[in-house]
Amino acid sequence: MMEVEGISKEWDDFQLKNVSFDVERGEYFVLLGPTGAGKTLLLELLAGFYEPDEGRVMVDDEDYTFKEPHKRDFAFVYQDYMLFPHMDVRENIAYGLEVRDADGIQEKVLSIAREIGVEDLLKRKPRTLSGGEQQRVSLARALIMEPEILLLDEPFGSLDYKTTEELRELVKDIHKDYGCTVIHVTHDQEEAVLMGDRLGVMKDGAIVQIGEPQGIMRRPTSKFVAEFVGTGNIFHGKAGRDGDVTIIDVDGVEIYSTAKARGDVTATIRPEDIIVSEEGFESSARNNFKGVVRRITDRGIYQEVEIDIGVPMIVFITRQSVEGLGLEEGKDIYLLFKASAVHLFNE
Amino acid sequence: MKVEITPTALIMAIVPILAVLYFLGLWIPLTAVTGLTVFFLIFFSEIKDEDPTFIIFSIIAIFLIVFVLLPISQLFYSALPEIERALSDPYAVNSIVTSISAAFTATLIGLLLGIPLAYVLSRKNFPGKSFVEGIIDLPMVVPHTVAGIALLVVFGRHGSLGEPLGQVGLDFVDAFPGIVVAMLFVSIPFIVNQVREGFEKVDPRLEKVAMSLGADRKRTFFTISLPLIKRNIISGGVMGWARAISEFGAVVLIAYYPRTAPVYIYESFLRRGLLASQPIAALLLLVTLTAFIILRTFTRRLKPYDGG
Repeated sequence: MMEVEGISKEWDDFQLKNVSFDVERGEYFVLLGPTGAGKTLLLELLAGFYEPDEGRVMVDDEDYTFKEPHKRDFAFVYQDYMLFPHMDVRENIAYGLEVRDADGIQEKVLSIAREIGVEDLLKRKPRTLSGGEQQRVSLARALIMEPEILLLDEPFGSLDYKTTEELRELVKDIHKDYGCTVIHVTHDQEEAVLMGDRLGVMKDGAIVQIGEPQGIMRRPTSKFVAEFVGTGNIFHGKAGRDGDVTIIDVDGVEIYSTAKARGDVTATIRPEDIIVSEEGFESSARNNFKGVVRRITDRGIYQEVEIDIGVPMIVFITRQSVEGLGLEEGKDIYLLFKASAVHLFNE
Repeated sequence: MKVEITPTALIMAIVPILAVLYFLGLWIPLTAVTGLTVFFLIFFSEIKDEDPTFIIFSIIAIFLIVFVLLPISQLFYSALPEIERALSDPYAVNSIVTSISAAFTATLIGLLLGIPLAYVLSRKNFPGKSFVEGIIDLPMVVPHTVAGIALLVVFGRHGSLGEPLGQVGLDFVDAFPGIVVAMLFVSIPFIVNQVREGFEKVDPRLEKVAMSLGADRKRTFFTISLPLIKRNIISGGVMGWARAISEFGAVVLIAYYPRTAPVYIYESFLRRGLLASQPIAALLLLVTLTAFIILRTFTRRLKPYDGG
């Protein structure tokens, strides 16, 4: 429904360079990138707060490029809530409907407040609310407009872990119930993967990769994406072809891949794609290695194990597996991963 | 037993002493007691801080406070008993009414024209912005008599604006509009800068949210930006008004008549001397101080909207 075509913009210290992407109706699209990548500028430009120097924005084949923000049916939610401080919660939520002289404002406010869980706060002033409460109100204020597109700018960036979890659930439910299109900006890759139907990874004002979260994590097309999305095992080596497989020489360790590449390459293997075993196995998998456990780190829901096979390899396994295998530092262990799990890209 | 001295208790104890000294006209002791009180207030209101820097700074600070307080309190002391004389002098009362209403008109015009300008300055960057800012601050550095002469050149009977406006019946020289023009000129920087400071504290993203919710610029301005700076509008108005009512130099050059209070005070000082001019001076001071204190208390009550 929304087509962003070759947007360029310079503003202050930020810039956007030839940004293009499409968002489908009802899709949850996440713009992921580090601070200073121009994510917020892009989102504000989509909202109509800025006009692009070049390019255009189409919504359902209508040119939105220079359409004023108040005429767009979008709603915006900022990281730091931006509740109107001189109005109470009820007035904040009702604001958009008041502007449009809508009917039945009070009933609508009440019903959305119930749904979002802020019905007890309606008479409070924003300053008396916690961060999580404020962001709920901010969401209610946006959702009451039943926007075509909901724009979220780091919506959980100022919240503690527990509140973030709650609100992520809430936003997911909202997306499901309302079927509204969401464009969500974040620097948190975990959040991006969790929330997004598709991601656009941004760097220095440009979108460097677009795709489904799993696709981006498994097949990053650049070192930047691999590192930023946290692929885990990233190696540099020389690639050569042997039949229909590629052999990558990484500091003397030969890794097989089904991807095609030659010369200097970066190889990535996701830690959860690696299997750990006490014995070497015979299998179709080409990548069998013997290594030594160097380090075991407790990551809460999983254990991160670093195994030296000539190069350090990071593996994620469960606590039970660690205990079952009797893993400890210095222990010899076998590693196995499929050649198709090794993703390659040329530098 | 240790006696706790609270600031309130201190003030309660000091005020009668000050009153007695005041009515006895003992200025030097009064000054000393006031200074010491301020000194102790500084030290009892906060967590005790024996740092010598603070002690020395507080002592130095007292000189300025006394410097402002002494002339004003002494004027009241000598003139208050005779303030009735000023009240029964129709010229004096008229001059004060003229001052108040001209200052009020100037402030109103200043706010009406100043709020849009302040908003533009706080929201837009444009080439020559610092030049515009300089122009706004100019009235603060131009000597008031120079301002008066410059205004006379423009608004005089043969002035570039004075002549055409005179033809449609709007006279400035020796007329109420002349006073307003002079007062407006000197109060502009206070009004514009105060209001602008307010707008600058309003997060532009609040306005963006309002626009995304369907409000156009105008509606956003009147429902979000403007209500949020109520405090600054009032304090800018108060400062502009105070500046306007105290103006003498520019006013006297463009409009000797109708006499404003400062002009009338100056005239009675020249004609009849210090003693004769004191009651009306005290009356003017009383009126402006009362207005000032009321408005200040009122602005303090308004809570600042500091976001989150």
